[in-house]
Amino acid sequence: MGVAGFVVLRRSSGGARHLILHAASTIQAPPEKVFAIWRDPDQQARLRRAAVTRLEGEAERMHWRRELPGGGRIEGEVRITHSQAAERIEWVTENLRLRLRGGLPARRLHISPRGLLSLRSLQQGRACEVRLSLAVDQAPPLPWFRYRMQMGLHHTLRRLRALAETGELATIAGQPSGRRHGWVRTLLPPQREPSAEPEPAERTG
Amino acid sequence: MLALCWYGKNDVRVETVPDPTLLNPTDVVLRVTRTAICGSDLHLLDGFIPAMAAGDILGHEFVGEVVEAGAEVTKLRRGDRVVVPFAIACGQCYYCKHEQWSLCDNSNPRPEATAAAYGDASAGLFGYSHLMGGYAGGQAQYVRVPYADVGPLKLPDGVGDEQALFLSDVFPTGYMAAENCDLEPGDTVAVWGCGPVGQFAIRSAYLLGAGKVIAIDAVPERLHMAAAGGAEPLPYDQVDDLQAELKWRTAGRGPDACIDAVGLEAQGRTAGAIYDRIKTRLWLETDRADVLRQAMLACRKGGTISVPGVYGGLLDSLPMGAAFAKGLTLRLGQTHVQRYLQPLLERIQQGEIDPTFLITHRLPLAEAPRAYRMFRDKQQGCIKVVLDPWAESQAA
Repeated sequence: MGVAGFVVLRRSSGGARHLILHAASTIQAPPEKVFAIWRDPDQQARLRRAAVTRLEGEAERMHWRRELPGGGRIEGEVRITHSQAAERIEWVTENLRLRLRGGLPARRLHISPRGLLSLRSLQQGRACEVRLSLAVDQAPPLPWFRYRMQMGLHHTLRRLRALAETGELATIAGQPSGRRHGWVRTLLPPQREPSAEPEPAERTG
Repeated sequence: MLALCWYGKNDVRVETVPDPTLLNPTDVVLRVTRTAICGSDLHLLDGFIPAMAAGDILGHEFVGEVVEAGAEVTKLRRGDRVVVPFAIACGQCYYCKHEQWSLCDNSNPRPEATAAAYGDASAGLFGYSHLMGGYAGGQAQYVRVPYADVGPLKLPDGVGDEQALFLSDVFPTGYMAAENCDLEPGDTVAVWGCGPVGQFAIRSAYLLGAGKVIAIDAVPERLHMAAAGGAEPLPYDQVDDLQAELKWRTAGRGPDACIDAVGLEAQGRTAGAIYDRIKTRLWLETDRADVLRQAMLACRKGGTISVPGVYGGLLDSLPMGAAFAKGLTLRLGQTHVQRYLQPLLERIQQGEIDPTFLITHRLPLAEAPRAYRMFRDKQQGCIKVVLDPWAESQAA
């Protein structure tokens, strides 16, 4: 097989106003396990770094909400349109709302991104090939947004791989440091962990 | 607890910081009993490694005793003495399953930057920048160790902390550098850089069957230590033409294998070294690659270049034409420490090697800033400093 890690297969724009993004990963876990993680709202929260809740009485609909820097928020509802165990999940995101700052009214975004996760069993079911696609009917105006969306796909698949292979996400949130003023000299943005992260265990000794 | 923190170029300080806690169920927390300063830590001190944050705790060579274990840790328990590999590995991904532990897919919590810069995400390392995950290091009184069932090796009675300490990095790194040379009995190996990794590369080359090792450096005490390990010293500052000298010492053929145990901060007075200094100052190049150039030109046709020295960015004017024409093999990368822990521990137990030969200075952690400067500036014969996190500072 020889392929592991992450491969950007294609980054294409289907016409001026459409955008289709793809990414793939090989995961050392059975497709059934990967599929179950994707369908679990608690694990979705960890994958997307967002709060995810299943809507009451609707098995195929979930509400998700992600806080943005500066007090903003983006939220929407994911509706699963097709699901085939351990092979394929398709969904559409509806009622997307963006609030740029706390106190400002939420603005409806008139786009409905569609997603597809497909799985193919490898190594007699001990591993699987995972392909993730996202189609947006209105492409963002700036390349930077498209880049960020592509990175978002990468991050989601990396986290899916880590959860499927190890059952946990590597983290440094909460570790000690000598920072005194909360001002971090780093080229990277601060790491935010979802609420579903396990609480730090108590010292036993 | 006390910990050595990085605040900027040439600015490291011992500070009081909160104790670490378990963050994942496979973590343990260690009470660090001994820790060391690695040559690659000097790249942090000198500001060569990006994505450091003020306050980061340094250190990736340490041994300690388990004081807490997460709920899913099965192989370790409170009181166990362990040595910990510097590269963090999950044990479950494609690379860990293939014993390429330092290429782990899952241990870096912030993989975005290296994925963008290198084409693939790097594994997490202790105390080595947010590119490598931002993990707090072990130059501290306590340290949190993730995936504790995978990396740490339990130490048997009879093996002291200082004997085991260098299994965390420099001993396996030197050993892998020699192993990467694919030596045949009697081969000649040239080792550039007689710091800690170079010293272990020299001894490992002999363990693996080398007939002659030529040790290249300009610091007398390092060459003296290399000679004590059986190497033939070559003080590069005292020869006019290093290539000619190596040809002379190998009867015209060149070394069968060349080990670059220097990495990105190569020094010297050659035209290549001056070229690198100018280009790095102008930000036209990030790493000084003069040793790699010398090794490519010196190595015999069909030979191997093994690179345990750290490179981080972009190198200029490498003689790839020479490497191609001579059919050289280039082997490099972070050490897969987990692969070597048990076999090298057995060599220590059998008395084949005592890694403590390397230690030139023992100091309290509180004196780590002074120790860093002493090590970097090669003062007082400093080759390797071991820090005791619990010793009282003499300067206090």
